[in-house]
Amino acid sequence: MANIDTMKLARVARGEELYSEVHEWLDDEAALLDSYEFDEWLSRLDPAINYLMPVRETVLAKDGLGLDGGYSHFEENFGSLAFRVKHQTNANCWSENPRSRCRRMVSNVRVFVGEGGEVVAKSYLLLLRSRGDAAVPELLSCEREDTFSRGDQAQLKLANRYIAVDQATLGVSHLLTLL
Amino acid sequence: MSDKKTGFRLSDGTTLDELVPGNGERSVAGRIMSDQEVYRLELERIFDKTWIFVAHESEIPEKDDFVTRYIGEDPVIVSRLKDGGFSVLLNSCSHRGPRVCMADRGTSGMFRCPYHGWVYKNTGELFAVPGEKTVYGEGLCKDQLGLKQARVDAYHGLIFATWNEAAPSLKEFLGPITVWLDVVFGLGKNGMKVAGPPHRWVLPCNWKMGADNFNTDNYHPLATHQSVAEAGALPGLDVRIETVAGRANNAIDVERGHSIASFISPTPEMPEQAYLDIGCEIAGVPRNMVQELRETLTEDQVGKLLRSSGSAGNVWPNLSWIRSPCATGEGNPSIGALTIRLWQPHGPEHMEAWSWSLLYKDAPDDVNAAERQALLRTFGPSGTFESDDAEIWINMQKAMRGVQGRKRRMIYNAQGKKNPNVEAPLEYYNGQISDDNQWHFYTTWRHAMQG
Repeated sequence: MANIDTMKLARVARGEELYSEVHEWLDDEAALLDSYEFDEWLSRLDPAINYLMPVRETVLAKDGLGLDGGYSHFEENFGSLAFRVKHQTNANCWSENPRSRCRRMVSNVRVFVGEGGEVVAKSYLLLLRSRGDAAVPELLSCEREDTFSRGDQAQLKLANRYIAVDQATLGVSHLLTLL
Repeated sequence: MSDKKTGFRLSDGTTLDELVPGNGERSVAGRIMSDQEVYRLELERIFDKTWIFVAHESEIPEKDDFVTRYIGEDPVIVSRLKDGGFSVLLNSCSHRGPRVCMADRGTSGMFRCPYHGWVYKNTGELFAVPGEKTVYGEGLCKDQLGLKQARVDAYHGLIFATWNEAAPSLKEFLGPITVWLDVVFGLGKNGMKVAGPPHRWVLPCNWKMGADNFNTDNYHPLATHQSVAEAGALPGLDVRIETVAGRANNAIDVERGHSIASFISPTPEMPEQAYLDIGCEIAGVPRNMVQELRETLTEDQVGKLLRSSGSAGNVWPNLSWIRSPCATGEGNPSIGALTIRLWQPHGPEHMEAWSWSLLYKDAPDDVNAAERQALLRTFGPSGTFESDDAEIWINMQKAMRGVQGRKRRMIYNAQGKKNPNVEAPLEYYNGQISDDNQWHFYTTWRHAMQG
C-alpha cells in the first residue's frame, strides 16, 4: 500500500515498548468495535481525524493499485463518524437491529515513527461478520494505514486512517460496519 | 394478447396472468423474485431487448478510455472512440469466448485475447490473428469475426446500449419522461461528471426490489428510514405520511415504465420567483450556476426543477437515481446530492448494486467535495439511508422462495387520482401517496415478458 512512503519512516521493532503500545491500541479498538462500545471508541479518536476508504478497482498492473479513482466508501471526519454511530445504535436501524456479530481480526502489525515523531501503524484487518441465520459469515479484508497523535494524557489518538480494501465488489450487504 | 399466442408459459404451466394479472388486479406473485426460469426469461426478453445503462460519458473522457460493464449478464467493453463517440462491444473473443479485457477501466485502443492472441480494435474490428495463414490456410474472413457490437447512444451523459436492432431510438425509448430527466441530468452548459468509479456491492435479493423501491415508494420513509430521521439526517424534513403525501408528485410513462417521484411541492411560503433558488439549494446545484439557469430554463422547467430537487426515479428497467438533501453530522454541511444506481441482475436471488456520485462540472471544488462526501455517507453500501432499504429487500427475498412465498402476492392497490391535465402516456399524481408508479413498473414488465 503506497499511501505513506515507509522508506521515510523508522521501523519500530517488535518487542519495543512503542510497538506493544500500538498493537494493544489496535487490539483494544477491535474489541470495542466488535462489542459496539462506540462512545469509548470515539473518545480514542483525534477530533481532527481523517478516515478514508477509497473504492477499489481492478486495473492492469501498469495502472497502479486501483485506489485513486476519486470516490470512496468512507470519507469521514469526527462529526460524520459520530453521526454514523448515532444512526446505527438507533433501535430502528433495521440493518443493525438485530446486530451483526463481528470479529475484526487484526494482524501483520508494523509500527513506524515518522520524521516529525508521528506514530504510524500498518495492519491487516479481516472482518468476519455473521448476520441473521446465515451459516457463512460475510468477509471483508483490507490493509489499514494509521497515523496517531497524542492526547493530553499522552495516550494514542487515531488521527488518520486509510483503508485499502481488497474487494472491488464488496461482499457485504451493507458497510455501516466501521473498519 | 393471450399468453397462448405469445407462448409465455412456465414449465409447470404457470401463465403470465398468474404472475402479474392483466385484469386490473394490482398484485404480483412473489415467485417473480426468486424463480430461475422467470429470471432466464427476463435476461432474454428484457435485458437483451431494451436499452440498458452502461456508463456515464465522464468515466471515459479521452480517446481510447474504456470501462467494462454488463448488459444483463453479458460482459461488455464501453470505449471512447477517436471521433468522440462510443462503442459497446461484447467482451468475449469471437474465437473461443474469453473476455478480452479484464480490467474495470483503463486506456487502450486494442484488446488482445489472452487465450490465442487475437487482437481487436475498440471499434470491434478483428485486427490480427497470430499465425493466421499457418493455422487457417487460406486465412479467415476477419471482417466477419469482430467483437459483437451493440447499438449505443447517450442522453445528458448517460450512455445506454442495446443488442436489439429493432428497438426504437434511445430518444424514443426514453420518451416524454425526458422533460423530467432534463431538469435532473441536463442542467448547466457543461453538464455533469462522476466523482469517481462506482460503488459495487452484492445484495442477496432480486434486482427488481431496488427498481421497485426507487420507482418510487413514497410510503416507506417513515418506517424504513426512522433511524436516520431520528438521528437527525433530515433537518427540517418531516417524514409523517400525511406530510409526505402532501409533498409527493409522481410522473409515470405508463407505456415505457419510466417514472419519477418528487418529494417537494411548492407551498405558499415559496414565492414563484424564488422556485429556482429554492430548487437549486435543495438539489445541490451550485450558486454559481443559478444565473445561467435563470437565463436558459423555461418557466415550466423551473417548476419541474423545484419539484424534482428532492426526487427519485427509475428508467426502465434498472437505472435509478435519487437527488436529495443529505445531512451527515456536526461540522458537515447539509447539502443536496445526486446519485445514479444500476440494479445489475446476477441470478434470481442476487444483484450487484452499482452507485455513482454525479457532480456538476461547473461547481467549485469545495462544493463538489461536500456533495461527494454527503452522498457516500447517505447512499451506497456505507450509506445510512441505503443500508436500511437493502436490509428490508433482503428480508423480502428470504420470504419469497418457499412454496407459500412463491404463491403469495405483493399488493400495489393504493390507486391515486390522476391529474386530468396531463397527456398520455404520461400520468401525473399530485399531492398523494399511491402505488401507481410501482404498479406500472410491473405492467411494463408484463408487457416485456410477453416477448
